[in-house]
Amino acid sequence: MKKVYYAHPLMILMFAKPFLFVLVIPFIRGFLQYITDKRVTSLLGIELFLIITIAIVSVLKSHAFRFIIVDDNITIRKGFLIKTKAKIKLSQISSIQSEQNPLDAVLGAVTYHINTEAGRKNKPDFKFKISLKDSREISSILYGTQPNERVRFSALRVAIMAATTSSAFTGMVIGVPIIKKTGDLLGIALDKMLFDEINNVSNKYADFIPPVVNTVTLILLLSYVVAFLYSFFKYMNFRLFLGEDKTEIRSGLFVRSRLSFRKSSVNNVRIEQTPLMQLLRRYAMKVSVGGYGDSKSESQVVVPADRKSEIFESFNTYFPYLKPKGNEVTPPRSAFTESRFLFWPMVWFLTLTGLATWASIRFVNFGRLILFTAFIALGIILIYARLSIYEYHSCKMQLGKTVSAYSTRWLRTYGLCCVKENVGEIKISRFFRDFDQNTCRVRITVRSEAADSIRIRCLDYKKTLKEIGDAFNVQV
Amino acid sequence: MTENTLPKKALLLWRIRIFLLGIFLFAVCLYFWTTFRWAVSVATVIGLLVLFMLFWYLPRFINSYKITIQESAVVIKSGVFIKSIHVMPFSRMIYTQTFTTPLAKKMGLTAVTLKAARSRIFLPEMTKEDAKAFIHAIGGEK
Repeated sequence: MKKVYYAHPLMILMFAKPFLFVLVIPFIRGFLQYITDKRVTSLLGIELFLIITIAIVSVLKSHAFRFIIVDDNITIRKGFLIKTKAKIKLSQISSIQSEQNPLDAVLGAVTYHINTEAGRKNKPDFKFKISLKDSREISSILYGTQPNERVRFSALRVAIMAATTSSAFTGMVIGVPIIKKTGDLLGIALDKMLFDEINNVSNKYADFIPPVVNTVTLILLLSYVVAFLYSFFKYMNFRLFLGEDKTEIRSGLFVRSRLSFRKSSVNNVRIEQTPLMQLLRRYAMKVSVGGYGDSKSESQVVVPADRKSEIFESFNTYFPYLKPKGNEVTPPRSAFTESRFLFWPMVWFLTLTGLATWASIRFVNFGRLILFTAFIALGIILIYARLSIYEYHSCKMQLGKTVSAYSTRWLRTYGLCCVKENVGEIKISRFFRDFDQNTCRVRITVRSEAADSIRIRCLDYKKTLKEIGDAFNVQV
Repeated sequence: MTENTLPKKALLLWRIRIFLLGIFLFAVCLYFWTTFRWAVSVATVIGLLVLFMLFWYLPRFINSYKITIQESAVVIKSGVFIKSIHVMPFSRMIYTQTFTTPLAKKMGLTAVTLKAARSRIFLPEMTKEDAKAFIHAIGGEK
């Protein structure tokens, strides 16, 4: 059986897109200037030449693209002058993803991603535009028909996840380039206008809180709102389809995304909780699929927000490694061990107190600002301390046919579960207090391109060695 | 177990590429030599380097490639100054990719890249038939 698929005409735009802001828009502006002022820049001719060249190259590249399926192999042909031809066995594909933005939806196209574990980190191995009909046909050939079992998550759950996982930093990363590019496009200093407006609002409350604090707070709040909206619209209409071996996740309102992968391609499952999720007693479940992902990790949200018991109840038959097997290794339960977990929060607290005292004496005029910043930092340290106590009570490791470990990471609670074969490395390390307390810390890293890992502290050393030795049949 | 080497045409292809690159760099230097006197020195160094590459390094580099297909892995030996041996087990290989430039196509040659998780091996141009047989032998094609 041989099936050949061709690129959708929108792929021409995909190839030309990187040049849109540097060539096409300056050209249009120059052309409009010529019409209104009868004045033309010397670069206009060169720009026009480059635009025509890029357009021709894009058309030829799009025309040369082929996606061929022959039995259990796929071949992807690209390029018209420099030709590349990739041959991949179907079993080596870790996941496929299709995205449809509003323009794609109008013209009946999708952006198709083919991921394997061999591609470049943070980038799909192959990305192209094909028609919606072809994409459905390819998906059914690669992964069979759509699974029946369907889990739909309400907008409220998605909103909880968006609210509890969004950060101001992400908002800045998303928002700043948009503001900058829109400003460039419209030919106005949009960033300056926005900053002036923020300053105006900040000055209204300058009597109570320092203006700089107001400004920073407003920027952070705005960024958080941007991140929240981005995350909310990205995961809206979140639906999960579970088949015997195929998992499919659909989400998105404006940009619709559909990700399919084999259950066997899942390297590990992560169960996480942000500080806000801790307040709401909700957890998010993510799966790591080898080679998938355009961010720093390979993970995909499977459950946006739910109770831990409900997650386990719903998924422990589908991901059997959620149910731990083997003996549990935990830190010794004693007041001294608990104090070891609180060591770093205490160090941070003392450092902050010292720094804040010194800074308020040294910079008297900035007293209010220093106090405000110190309060914020103190809040974070308190969350860290609370999380350290949680870690003392909850961190554990279970090794058997499956591996499961629970601990904390940054300001999150963090659990990692996988089958034993997917473990890439186990590292045992010991520091000063570990020697006299007969404890150790263990780092488990999953075998993957952008591997997930977990670190568990203060575990009983002898028991850890025995469990690792038994589970992996090695002499430690 | 079969051992393959690269064809003589591959050497010719790389010689043409290096020669064209040398001509281009030489032309750039000549263009600037009235403004920057040191461009002449640079052009001389480039000329000597190109001659060295064409007549000494390239033949040895292309001849150094020994590709052995074993039962469960492909072993590739290469290098002139620094010799290296790559062993890629078939179980770890994800896919193969061929790469053809217009000049290589004219000479009936194609380069092959073997891709595995976190690693890749690039093999300089071999004949299209050899590349096809090689990919077939390592199980990348049916």
